[in-house]
Amino acid sequence: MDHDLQQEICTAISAHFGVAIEKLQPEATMESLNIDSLSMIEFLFDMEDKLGISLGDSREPLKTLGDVFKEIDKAIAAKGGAA
Amino acid sequence: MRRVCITGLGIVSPIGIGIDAFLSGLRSGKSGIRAIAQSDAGATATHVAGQVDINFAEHLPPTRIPGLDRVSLFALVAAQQAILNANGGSNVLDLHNAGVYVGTGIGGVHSLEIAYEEFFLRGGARVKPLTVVQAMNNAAAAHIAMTHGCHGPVLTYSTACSSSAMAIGEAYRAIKHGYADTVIAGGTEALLVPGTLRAWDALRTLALPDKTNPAASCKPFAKGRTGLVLAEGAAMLVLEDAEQARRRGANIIAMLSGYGCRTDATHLTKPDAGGQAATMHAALAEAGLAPEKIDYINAHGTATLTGDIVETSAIKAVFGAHAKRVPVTSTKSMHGHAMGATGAIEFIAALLALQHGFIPPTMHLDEPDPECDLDYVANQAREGVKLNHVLSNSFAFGGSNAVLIASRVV
Repeated sequence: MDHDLQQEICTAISAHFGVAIEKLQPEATMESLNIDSLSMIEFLFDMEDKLGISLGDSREPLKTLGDVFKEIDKAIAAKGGAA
Repeated sequence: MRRVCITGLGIVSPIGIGIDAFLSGLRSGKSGIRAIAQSDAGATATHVAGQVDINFAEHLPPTRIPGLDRVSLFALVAAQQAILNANGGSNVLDLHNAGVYVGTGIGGVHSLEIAYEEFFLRGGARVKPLTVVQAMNNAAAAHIAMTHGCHGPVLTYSTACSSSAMAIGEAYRAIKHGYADTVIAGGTEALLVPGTLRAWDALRTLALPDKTNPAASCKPFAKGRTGLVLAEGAAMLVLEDAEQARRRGANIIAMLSGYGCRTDATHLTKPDAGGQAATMHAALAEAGLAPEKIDYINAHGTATLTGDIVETSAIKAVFGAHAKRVPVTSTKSMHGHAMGATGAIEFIAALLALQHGFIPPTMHLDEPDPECDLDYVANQAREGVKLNHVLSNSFAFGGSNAVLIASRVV
């Protein structure tokens, strides 16, 4: 993922969930960040609007922050270019 | 058999947020009703409604607010007040095994309308992911339970206008028969959205706005009444096993002494005097009280053309000669009809009357309907009266009737 975009997403997660930005590493699990799946779905809904992307119908669980970055990358690729 | 008492009250209403503001509103005959403009599909309609002015951030932690429908936020604010009130005694109330019984007519309709608007009007391809869990009828009860760690039965009652009176009555029975020691019980409603207002309009039961004073549009028992005024809000009570409350040194506000729950089974919307009378009789029987012992009736009193006459006639059938002596008032004239929350709001009005020795007025009653000929305490509260037993009526679409009786602590 593009570094600037990753920073933008981390800033948004930090603001939305009140998690310190330095904890937002790709290997960090949602559990360790105390972010439940329902709240993450809600957050991603807002990110879709913000980035003008559609995350599709994947039912793969988002266990780590890296999984979230990958989902967003896939959506950007599907859209056919950078967000 | 265990006795049940009330140790905490909380309220969010168009005439005040918090018990002190609500009490002062009842005593001064304040109206929380005003004209509101709502637009949908390009058309704007003016309605009158009892709207609550509230900034939730002043009442709840900021992290508690996102992702909740207005109906759940109202419930959380009222429940928090009631619990704080119940903790006024020497021992803090243990809520671990407490139940939560909440009445609501239509639950999270704000969230549903936002979703429908996005999908049908704006052509959006998707709706917000939390729509389901915001709109579901049991969300308010679940949020109270999660916020306060209540692991007992958490139930939601939906019987239209009597929902919260039912919830309180069923909670009373759960404690009386030993299924719970403590229950947070009441109701919540937040239905003032364009689609819902239009649907109510179509039933032709909503009051026409008063031309000179919109705040006076709800006129129960008056000759010039034109219908009910929708409102929003929430009211919650802490009910406890009386022995537990005494042991922990709680401040007991009143005893919950009787509950009647019966059904007309005649018509979906037309009220039935026989069914209403049977419900009042059932509550009196459970309380072990003769009708003459009731000192105040908080009427359902919606200000519909039929409803007020039918209720007047049901009260006469139950109370006989005493019907002309007992004050009967409709506080809906001030706070409007908050559907699933209204039974709890009005039961609190009756409890405050009992506690503070006054009769809340029926406002905007200048000329009574000749067919409504009881003592409705028109336009001004009656102060300085000693009340021992008060009764609150709630009668609903679907014919679901609930009557609650509270008694002074002796």
